[in-house]
Formats: sequence, structure tokens, C-alpha cells
Amino acid sequence: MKNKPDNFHFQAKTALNNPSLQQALSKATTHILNKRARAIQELTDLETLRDRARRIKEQTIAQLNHYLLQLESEVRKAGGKVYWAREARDAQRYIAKLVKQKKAQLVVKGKSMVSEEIGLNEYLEKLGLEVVETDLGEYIVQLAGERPSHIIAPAIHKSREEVALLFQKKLGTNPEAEISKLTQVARERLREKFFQADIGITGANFAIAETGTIVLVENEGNIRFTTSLPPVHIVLMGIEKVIPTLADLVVFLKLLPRSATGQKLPSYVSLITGPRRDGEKDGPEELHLIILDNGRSRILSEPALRESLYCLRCGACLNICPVYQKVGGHAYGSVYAGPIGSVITPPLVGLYRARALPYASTLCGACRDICPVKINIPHMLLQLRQGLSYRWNRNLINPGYWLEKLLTITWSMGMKDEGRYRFGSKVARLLQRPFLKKQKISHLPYPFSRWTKSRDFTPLAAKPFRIWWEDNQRSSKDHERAD
Amino acid sequence: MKEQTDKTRLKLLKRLQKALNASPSANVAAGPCPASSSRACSVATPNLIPLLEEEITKTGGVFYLARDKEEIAQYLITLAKRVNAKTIIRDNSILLQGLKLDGVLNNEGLQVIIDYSGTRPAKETNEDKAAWRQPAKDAALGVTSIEYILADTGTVVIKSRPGLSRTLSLVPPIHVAIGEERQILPGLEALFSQGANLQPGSAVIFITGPSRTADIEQTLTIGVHGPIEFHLILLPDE
Amino acid sequence: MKAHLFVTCLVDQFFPEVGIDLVKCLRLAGVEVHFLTGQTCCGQPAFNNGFWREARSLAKRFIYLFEKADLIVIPSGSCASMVKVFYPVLFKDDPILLARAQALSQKVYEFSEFLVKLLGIETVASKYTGKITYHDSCHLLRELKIYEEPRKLLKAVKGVELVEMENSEACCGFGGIFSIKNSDISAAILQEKIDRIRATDAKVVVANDVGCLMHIAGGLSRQNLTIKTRHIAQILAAD
Repeated sequence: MKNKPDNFHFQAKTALNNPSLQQALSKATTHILNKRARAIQELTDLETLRDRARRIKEQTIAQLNHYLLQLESEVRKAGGKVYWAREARDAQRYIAKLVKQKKAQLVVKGKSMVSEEIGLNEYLEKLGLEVVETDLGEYIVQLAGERPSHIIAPAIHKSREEVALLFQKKLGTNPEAEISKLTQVARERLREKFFQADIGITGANFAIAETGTIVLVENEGNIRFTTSLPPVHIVLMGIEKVIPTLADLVVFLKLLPRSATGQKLPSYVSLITGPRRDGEKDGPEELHLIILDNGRSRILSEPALRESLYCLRCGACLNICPVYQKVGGHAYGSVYAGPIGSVITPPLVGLYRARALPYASTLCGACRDICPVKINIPHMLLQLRQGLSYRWNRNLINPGYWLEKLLTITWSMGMKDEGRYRFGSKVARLLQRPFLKKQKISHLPYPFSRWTKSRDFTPLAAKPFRIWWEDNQRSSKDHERAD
Repeated sequence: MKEQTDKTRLKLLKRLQKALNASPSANVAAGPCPASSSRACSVATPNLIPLLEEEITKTGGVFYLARDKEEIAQYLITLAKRVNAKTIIRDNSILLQGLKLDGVLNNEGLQVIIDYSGTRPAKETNEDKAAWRQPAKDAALGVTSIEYILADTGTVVIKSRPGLSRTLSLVPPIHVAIGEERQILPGLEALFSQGANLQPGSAVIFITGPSRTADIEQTLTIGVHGPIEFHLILLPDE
Repeated sequence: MKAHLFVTCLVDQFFPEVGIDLVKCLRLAGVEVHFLTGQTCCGQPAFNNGFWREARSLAKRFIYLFEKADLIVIPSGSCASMVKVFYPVLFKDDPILLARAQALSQKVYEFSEFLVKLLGIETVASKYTGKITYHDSCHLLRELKIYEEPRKLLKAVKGVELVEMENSEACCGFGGIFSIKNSDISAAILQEKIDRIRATDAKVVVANDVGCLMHIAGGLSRQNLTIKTRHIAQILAAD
């Protein structure tokens, strides 16, 4: 069964009950966070860089049309083709047409979140193509028939033993769980694919409007292969990936790798401008840039959510999130997991379907502190929660919602007036009596049973503070009078 | 393939404009971006070689400061012998031509292929295509010149062009980059402040160390798709 | 100096002893403490759960009640954040209330912030013998940026040995309604916090927020652990 955002609670529980996943998650997130912390420390002007990066994103997104049109014209000048896709199916169809025209049989892919978002692999496989993910993590995940569970470390949930078993089953290799051997297997298997492929598909980390340049950041070299060998290169990018100039890129190249993998620079940064030029021996004959909306304009039109479009997809907020650390990426049931995923999934797939995600956060704010462009994720989660409570959506016909609403209204009525508050606190003390055993409350009725399942509840004190205060005031007045 | 009809394109642009209007300049601070304080200037640069060496070593690459041109050939021979290489592929740059490597290497029994620049036929058969790629596939060493060297990250910048194919620094298991001291820049800022020079070719690649991955258990593994070894040989200015 | 104490509904109803110690600390610091008995809740539970209309009505009530106060001291990072940071968010479309919320926001201090930043307190007269560890409450740390103040105060207490736990800045998993809606995840996060507290060998865990403390105490008690949870005021008032 495929994970869905609708089933967050169930999927989270499954993850919590999976000890090997728990171990893998804890090890991996701790490791990446430590590396990041070291790399970030080297930046003496970190706050300036973050502000600058955010400002560039703000200003670009505010004039998105302008920069996208500039990008389009520059890509065309460089000999590339540009296609504007409103929905996932527009992009799918365009790629299908290309596939047909080129009589393509084999497609190699570099890691692209957007292609996950539009379900491109399944779509192309249905058309009878062989689609091969070439990033090692993605390759593992594809062989396992799963989805990536982390933006930058797709197979973060798998141990080396699991990978070895998977390779044995799918590729018939030795079940040796040595990481260098497993990597070697991928190198050999995928090398041939690169040479045979008819089409290479990648995402884009950035697209430079000024020069029509696509920027791709990676460590393995698979993206370089994907953009160098197949005769056709298709770039899939979300509308938010454009930045104005090459000079702007500096800031992002300083922040992105450090935030993502704790590196100063990754092994390879490719700046691709158009297809290969006359006389060049390799590089694609054709370069197609697909600019995809697919719900992003909905985010754009919501002032409260707009800054989620500034996201660089570094994955740092996933690593630091206490919830992600416990449930991993698959639990979210969305292409975009973790804190930023909980913000952008609802506008992309619908508020009702993703209704559990805005609540999948303690609002601790660690994501905002670690974000290289200072995206205020907790505030946006609050906005989404608000939307779920009042805006028309299917949540409003959910009995759980009404129970919550009833409790909230009753509670807020009780809090609105001193007399009611005092009365309420007396009633609550009466109500807690049957549950009070040895100064502890270990069982409460639904929904509070969810607390007492694993934690005791603090009983209401015999007397509220205000009673003490009033006595204290009275006795000090008495003292004054006595004096 | 035909360019997209203007209709869908305009529809999307219109949709974006509408979305932008719905929240005009939401959360946008006015004024210019704050300047980055570390905008390094290249005037009076200190000796960047020690930093460069340190950074390259950190990323798992090998740095070699050659005393003269002859040493480069020796370095390549030693390297080729270590890995039992038969074939070396190199670009056709003036720098590499000037090193007169080929004869010396040939004498050691090493075949040197020079990356070819010429026009590919318009209609290529699959055999043609395979033939174009074969040399890089066969070579154990890819030797290239470079555009720039960034000291503070240990990075080399290569621009593809006829005679310096993308595959040279990618397909052979060992990539040897040969650069000159004058090509060293302090870092990214300096590179992009010379933006005009970086006017992109079809592909400009920043290479920092060998190919690597940490996709299994976050354990660093060298050489997944790209070169397993990366060497930078630096020729000091005279 | 005159200050109004907003004791928070949790302290009022569940932890009156914290309130008593707060008054003691403030009076020792020479503050004339006022307590408006009309106070109830700041509205944060409704706000965090998405019920902003209900939260707004409680926020309005708070503004009306406390507007005349010169200074408001709140012994909780999260309730103080609610008033200081989130009231202006709640009223962003209502210019009049927004202005009032912003004015109020200037007068709100979290307890340890009040003592250190406003009163400049560096020494305290209390004594508390033993190892303690300090948990950074999320809102206190990340909305109000208060990190050093509580540590300064705790270190000033005679007899206290402050042992930092690993990753004291990590959330305890409470998150208000989160602890009910996602109780399993909440409990798993709490377990990690408890493990880290135990690793310090401290007998007491201190925080500036009784919400977090209630959550941590619930886990400790269920696991029959004898580590105590204390609000910072309880340590500062100890003798």
C-alpha cells in the first residue's frame, strides 16, 4: 500500500514501531546535523548571508513573471526549448510526446523532487519505458519500490543490511553488506545505463534568469552523466527555482551545501546553459526546460504561505525536527516530508487530504532557526491550522472536529469570565476525583486517554493560586490594621 | 518539437500574475539586499597555495605542486603505472599541448588520445554515437586543463568546449586537472565578480574532490559514479 | 517597582506553589507584586489548535485587563510568547487592536528575563544543594530568544551544580494539543528527553515553563523515576 497524507497517524505509528527505522533515523539525522553545525560555524557572516538569500528569494518571487520570462528568453537564446506546464499532466504529456518523437526506450534520471511530485516514473513506465533513478539513494528506493524518505538522503531509512538484501534480490549480487561494495555495484550497473539512455531527466536547484543557466548541485556525478551523455536533456523545475543573476548564486552556493550535507561545496556543481554547442563532442543535442506550476500559484496567492516558496530543499528542517526524527519521511505520505512538507503539501494536494500534517509539529521552531532562508514554518503551520478550523473544507463534517470544537468553545466560554472560571475550576476538581489515585492520575477518558496512555497527568491542586493570593492579601491587610 | 502554443503559456503567466496581485509584495522588505561582508577582493591576494592544498586534501583529492613541466609528465607516468593504465585521454588546450606530454608518455608505453574537436555528422547512427564516447570509456586517466581554481573550497572550474568534452573529467576513474598559479582565485565571490569571464559555455562544472556519496547510512564512500580519484597539478608562475 | 503577575492558568490551577514562589522571588527583589484576580488564560491552547476566533476573544480580554499595567511578568515562555508575539498576529487585520496588542507586547516580560534584563539581578539569596539540569523550553528559546538568563540565575544559587544535558534545546514533545493529537510521537520525543535528563545524573530538572514540566513529570512519574521537576522560581525561592 502506498502511503498517503490522509493516513499520517497510522503511518507514524508504524514508523514508531519499527526499531531498525528508529535506529537509522536517529543515527542519520544526528550525523547530518553535526556535519552541518561544523560547516555553518565556518561562515563568519552567516546571518548576513541568510538575510541576503531570503531577500533575493523575496524579491524574485515578488516579480516572478518578469524573471520567468527572462529565463525563458535566455534559455531559448542558448538553443534550449521552454515549456510551461500548469499541471502535472501537462508536464507528463510533454515528456510523453518527446519520448514518442525520439523513439526513446531508456530514461535516466538525476534526483528531482518535482518528478516525484508529478509521479513521472510511474507515468513513463506505463508508457513502456525503462526509467532508471541514478542517484544511489534514489536507485535503492526505486529498486525497493518505495518513495524517498528525505529530500537529500532518499534512503535514510535503510540500513546497509537491508540494501545488501535488496541488491541480492533485485540484482543478484553477493549479499555482502559492505557499503563500498554496494556502491561499486551501483556504479557498474548504472554506468551502462548512462551510455545507453535516450533521455536524461533532472530537476534544477536554481535557474539563472540573466543567463538562462540551470544549476545542479550533487556529489555522485550521476547528474553530470545524465546531463552529458543522453541526446536529450529534460529539466523539470518548479516556478520558484528562478533567481535573477549568477552573482546571486554565490550566496546560495554558500548556504545550500552547508545546510544540506555540511559541505562547503559538493563534489559537483553544474552550470548548464543550453544544449551542446557546435563542435562539442558530448552534451545533449536538445535541452528542454519545463517550468511547472502544479499548485504553486495557489501558494503564491496566499500571503501567509508565500515564503514557503523560498525553500531551497536543503532538508535541514527535516533533520532538526523532533517529529521527523521519530517518524521519518514516509509517515507524512507526501513527496515533501518534514516541517516544510507539512506546509507545502496542503496547498498542493488539498487541505482536507493533508489535514493531519499541519498538526504534525510541536511548533518548537527549530526548523525556522535552522532554515538557511529563515522560513517561518511554525507560523505557517498555525495559519494552516486556522484554515482547517474555519475555512470550508471536508474536515468540517468530521465528528472529531466537532468534538474538538465543542471542547474548545466550552473551554473558552469558561475562560471568558472570572466567575465562570472559578466555577469551572471547582467543577473540574469534582470531576477529577474518581481518577485521582495516590496523588496521580493514570487514566482519563477519551480524548485525554491519549495522554495517560504513556504519561501520568498532574492533578489539579487542592486550592488554586488565587485563593492563596486572596488569603495572603487579607492577612497582610489584617497585619496593617493590627499595626 | 514545436514551440508551445502561446495560449497555455499565457494562461499560466496570467495565473501567476493573479496570484501575485492577490498578495502584492507580501512580506517583501524594500531596499537593496544586504551586502555580504566577505566579498573578497583579489587585489594583493596572499599566497593561496597552502590553503588550496589543505582544502583539496580535505575533500579527498590530491594536490601536487610541480616544479616544472617535466615533473608533470613524471607524475602522470607514476600515476598511470600505479593503476596499470594503458590509455590516457587529454584535452587539446594550449596549456596541455605546450607540456609536450604525449611523446614522453608514449615512450612509457602509454597511449594518449587527444579529445577531438570537429563537427559531428548531422545524422548519427548508434555506432557513431558509441564511437564518440568510446575513447573516454577506455581511458584510465582523464587529463584536463581548467579555467579557474578556487582556493577556499579546493575547487576547479572547467568549461566544456570543443576539444574539452564533459566526459573527460567524468568517465575515466581518475581525473587529473592541470592548472597554473595565476588561475587561483580566493573563492566563489571572486569568481562571480569576474562574471563576464564565466559567461557560460554549454556546461561549466565546479569540481571539488572525487565523486562521493553518503546515501547508505550516511557513510562517506568515494567514487560512486564519477572519478574515484581527483588530482590537481599546479604549475607555479614563473 | 510595580509589576503585575500573570500567573498563567496552569500555575493557578495545577501548580499554585510555583505562583507562591514567584511572589516570594519578586518581593525579595523589591518588586511590588500585583495580581488581577480577573485573569484566566491567554488563549494559547485555542490559538495553537487553529481556533483563532476563540483565541481572539480571550486575547481581547487579556488586553483590556492588563492594558493599564506598567509591567507584566509571566512565568512561562510560551504564554509570554503568546502575548508578545502572537497577539499582534491575531489582530493583524484590526488596526486598533493591533496597536493595542503591540503596545502591550512591549510591557511583557518572561520571569527570568524580568529578573536579569530589567532588574539586573546577579546574585540570589537562595540555597539549593544538588545537581540540577535545565531544559530549554521551545517558545522561551526560539520566540523570545532567552537562553542565558535562566542559566545565570541558576548558577547564582548557592549549592547548585548545573549540569547541561545533551541537546537541552530539543523539544520535550509536549506541544500543547500535539501531546493529545499525536500522543505516540509526543511520547517518543519525551522518552528521548527523559533519557538525556537521566544521563546527567541530576536529581532535578528545571524549566521556565510548567507546560513542559507537566509533560516531563508525567513521563517520569509513569516510569517511577524519582527525578523531580521544578520551575525556576522554586529554585530561586528555596532556602
